Amino acid sequence: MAIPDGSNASDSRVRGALRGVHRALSALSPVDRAFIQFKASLGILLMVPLVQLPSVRDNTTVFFLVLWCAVTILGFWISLTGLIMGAQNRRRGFRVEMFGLWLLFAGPAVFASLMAGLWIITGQQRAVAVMFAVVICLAVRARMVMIRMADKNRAALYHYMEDGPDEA
Amino acid sequence: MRPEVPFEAVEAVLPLPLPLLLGALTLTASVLTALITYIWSKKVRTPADNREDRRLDIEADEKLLQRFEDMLASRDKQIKELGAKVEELDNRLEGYRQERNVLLDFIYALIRIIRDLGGINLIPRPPSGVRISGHPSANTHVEETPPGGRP
Repeated sequence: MAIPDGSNASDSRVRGALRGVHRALSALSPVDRAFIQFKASLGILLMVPLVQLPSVRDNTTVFFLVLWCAVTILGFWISLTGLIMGAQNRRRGFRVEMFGLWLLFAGPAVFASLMAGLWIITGQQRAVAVMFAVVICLAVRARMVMIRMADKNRAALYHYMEDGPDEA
Repeated sequence: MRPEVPFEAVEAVLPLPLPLLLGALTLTASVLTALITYIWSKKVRTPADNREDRRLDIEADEKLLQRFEDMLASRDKQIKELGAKVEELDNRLEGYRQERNVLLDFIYALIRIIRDLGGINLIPRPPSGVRISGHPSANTHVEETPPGGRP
């Protein structure tokens, strides 16, 4: 990781940041990484085609679309933070992830309600779109249930290192 | 195919178009649920909590064990003090016994010398249970009845 023409201080700072990122990501299990991909595809990638749908654009305002995207993307980042915190054995990790998941839940849920409203108003068949969004919502719910089960069983979601970083 | 009941009348009452209204409601509900979940949800247990509990248990166990050991130590101390006292008494008893033997030997020697010199009658009456052969009290002591009387 050579950084050309950097002073010593900024070099060490960049290295420290890289080490922190590496440490944060190395605590994750494969299940964690799979959920990160799931959340990123849901919170960021899915929003791009959803917002560009003509039926969605014509029936909403720009302000609403921006708010919707902001909430969903914020949900992605917050749930990612909570997931990493949980993997690092921090006490509030699961709670933060739950908060972010509810924000992330808004993405497909709002799409489903938009489609349902269109269905009611125009009478066009929107069942596929609604069910598509509902299935994604249920996937988010599955993750929430996983977290709750970990709460109920007082068990770890994944394997933790015993000598890992403790609650901070 | 439009449905039988038109929605224009309903839409006229609504402040926003229905899809937008539903979407806004869902968005608001999601954000509110997230906030409520974050604020009022009971704390989710983590392995760190379990470790904390285990550490507390171990600390309590150690405290109990410490108390028990203290109790045993105090008991041991008492027993040791008593043992030392008994040993001291034993030593003193041994000393008294030796002293008594020395005194008895001395008295025997004295009485032998007195008998050899013929002054056995001049010895005062010895305490009961002690017999000096040749002394006038020896005969009376033989006939003395025991306190319980003869069967």
